[in-house]
Amino acid sequence: MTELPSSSPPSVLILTKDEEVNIGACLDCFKFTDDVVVLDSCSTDRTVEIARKYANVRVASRPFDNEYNQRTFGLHEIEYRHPWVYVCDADERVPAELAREIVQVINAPGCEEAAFRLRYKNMYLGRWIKRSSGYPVWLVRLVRPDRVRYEHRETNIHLIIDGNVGELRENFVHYSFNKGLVPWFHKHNYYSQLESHEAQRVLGSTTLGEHLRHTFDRDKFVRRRAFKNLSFFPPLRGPIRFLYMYLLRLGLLDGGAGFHYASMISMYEYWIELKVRELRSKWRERTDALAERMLREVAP
Amino acid sequence: MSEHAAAKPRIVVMIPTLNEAMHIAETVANARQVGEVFVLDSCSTDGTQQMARDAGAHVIEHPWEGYARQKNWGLDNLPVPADWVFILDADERLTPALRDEVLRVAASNTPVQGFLVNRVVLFMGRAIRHGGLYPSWNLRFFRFGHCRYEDRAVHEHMICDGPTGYLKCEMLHIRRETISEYIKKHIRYADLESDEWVRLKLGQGGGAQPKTMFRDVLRYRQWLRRKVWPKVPARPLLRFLYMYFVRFGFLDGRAGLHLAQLMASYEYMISLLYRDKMQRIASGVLKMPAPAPASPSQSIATSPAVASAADRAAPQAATTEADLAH
Repeated sequence: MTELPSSSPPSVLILTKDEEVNIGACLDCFKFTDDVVVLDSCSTDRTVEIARKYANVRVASRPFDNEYNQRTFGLHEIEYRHPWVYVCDADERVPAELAREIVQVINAPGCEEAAFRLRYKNMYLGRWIKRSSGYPVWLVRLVRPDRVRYEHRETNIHLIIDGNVGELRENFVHYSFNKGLVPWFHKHNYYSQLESHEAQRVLGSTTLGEHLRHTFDRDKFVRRRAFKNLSFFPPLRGPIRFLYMYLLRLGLLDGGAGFHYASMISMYEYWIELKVRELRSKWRERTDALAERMLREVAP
Repeated sequence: MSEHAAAKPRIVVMIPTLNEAMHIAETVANARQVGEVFVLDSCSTDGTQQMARDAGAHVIEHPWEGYARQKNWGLDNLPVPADWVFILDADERLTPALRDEVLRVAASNTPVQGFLVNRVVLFMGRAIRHGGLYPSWNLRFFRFGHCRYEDRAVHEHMICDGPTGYLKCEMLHIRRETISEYIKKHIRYADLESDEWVRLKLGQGGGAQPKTMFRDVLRYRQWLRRKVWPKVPARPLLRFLYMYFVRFGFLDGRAGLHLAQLMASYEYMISLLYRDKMQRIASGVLKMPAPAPASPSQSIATSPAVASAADRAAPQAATTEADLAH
C-alpha cells in the first residue's frame, strides 16, 4: 500500500522487567516508528542493554510498586512524540500487517476514536492454540493518552476511555511461555491461593447440603445464587474444566499444544479445589491436633 | 525411667536445621526427653539458633556442606559426650512409646550397633499409612562411633560397622506446610528434575553408570528413575494409579487421593518442563542447565513409584528420605 506523506506512526510503550529473552524480537516489530519507550522496572538481566541498541528506543526506569501506578506513569508521565500510543508487553509481537493497519487507522481522515481494541493469537509449543485459549478475546492496546486513564478496581485495573473504541482487523501474537513454564506454575500457584480465599469468603460457613437444598428453592434468585456458589464446591473442578476446554471449546483441534494447555488449566483448577478444601477442613490445625494426640502420654 | 541412674547411657539427639523457627522449640523439648540435644544449624536467618538455645539445646553453627558431610561433621564435633546418637529432623517427633523404647534399648546390652526407625507422615490432618509412603525405615539411632553417612551428594545413607536392627515404635513427621508451600516446593523439584532429564538426554552425565549399575539397590533404583521412567508414556496417570491403587493410597481416605493427585501434578510438571526445555534448547533460546548443586533446601525428589519399590526390597540400605515424604 502507499502511505500518505503526512501519515505519522504511533508511539510505543513497552513495560519490562527481566525480558532479555523477549525484548529484541519485540523491538524488531517496531521499526516502523521513530518513538518507542521501554519503561523498565529494575531489570537485572540484559533487557536495558539490548533495548539501548535500537536507535528509535528511549529507556525509562521506574521501580515497580503496583500495576496501576506503573501503567499510569507510563501513559501519562512520559512525553510522546505522537498522539497515539500502542501499549505492548515484551512477550507480544506485532506482525507487519498489523503495523500497516495501525498506521492506516490512526491517519484515516475523520478518525474520531479514542482507542482501538484488537484480538491476539496465544502461542504455546510453537503453535497458535486458538480454541483452548478462548479466541477471540479483545484487548485495548492502541490509545490516545489524552483520552484514556486507568482506574483501580479491587484486584484488576480498568481502562476508562473517553470516546469511541474502534476495532482492528489484524491480531497481535502473544508468546506467554517464552520464559519457560516455571513462572507460569508459580503464578498459578499464587492465583489458586487467591481464588481459594475468594471462594472461602463467598461460601462463608454454609455447607454443601444447604446450597443443594437452595437449588430447589421456590425463589428463582435464590436458586441462581445457589448454582453459582456450587461452582466453588469442588468435586471434579479440574476434569470439568478440561472437558469444557478440550471438547466443548474444541481444544482438541489445537493438537498436542491444545491438550497440554487444557491439562495445565485443569491442574490449576484442581489446585484451587484442593486449597478450598484445605481452608474448609482446616488441615493444618487438624494435623497439629493429631500430632498432639499421638504425642500424648498414655495414662499408666 | 530413672531406675538406671548409675550407668545411665548418654544419649545425644542431633537435629540438623536450616530456618526451622516453626518447629524447633517443640522439637528440642520433645528430644530432651531422651537426652542432651545438639542442634547443628547451617546458618539460619530466622532465629532458629536462639530459639533452640532457649529450649535447652546445645547449638553449633556450621555452613552447609551437603547432606552427608554436614551430618558427619556434626558427629565429629558433638558438644557433649555420647554413647548413643539419635538423628532427628526438625519436623520429626519421638512418640512416648519410641522414647521409652530408645531409653530401654540404650540401657540394654544389645549387640546391635544401629537401629532403623520407622516414620509416619502427618499431613492434611491424617496419618498417611499407604500410597508407598509407609513404612519408611531409616537408620537414625546408633552407638556413637559405629555409624557414619556415606559421602555422596544426595541419597546419602548410613554405613554401620556392626549388626543393625529395627525399633518397634515409630516417630512422627509433621508436615505443617500449606498446600501452596507444598506446590511451590514441588515446582522447584520439577524444575531440577527436568534439568536432570535434559542433561541425561543430551548426554552430559547423569547419575547411573551402566557398569556399576546393579552393584547395589541404590544404583538400580537410580537407573530405573533416570533411564527407564522418563521413557514411560502417561507418567502422571501411572503415578496416580500406582500410589492410589497399587500401593493402597485409597485407604488413607481423602488425603490419600489428594497426595496421589498432587504427585500426578508433580509428574506432569516434570514432563511439561522437560518438553519445553528440550524445545527451547533446540531453537537456541535456552542454554544447557548447569550441573545441579546439592543445597540443604532442595532435596532431589525421586519418583516414589520407582523408589519405594526399591525401598521395600532393601530396607537395609536406609536411604535418606528425599521422596514425597520429605
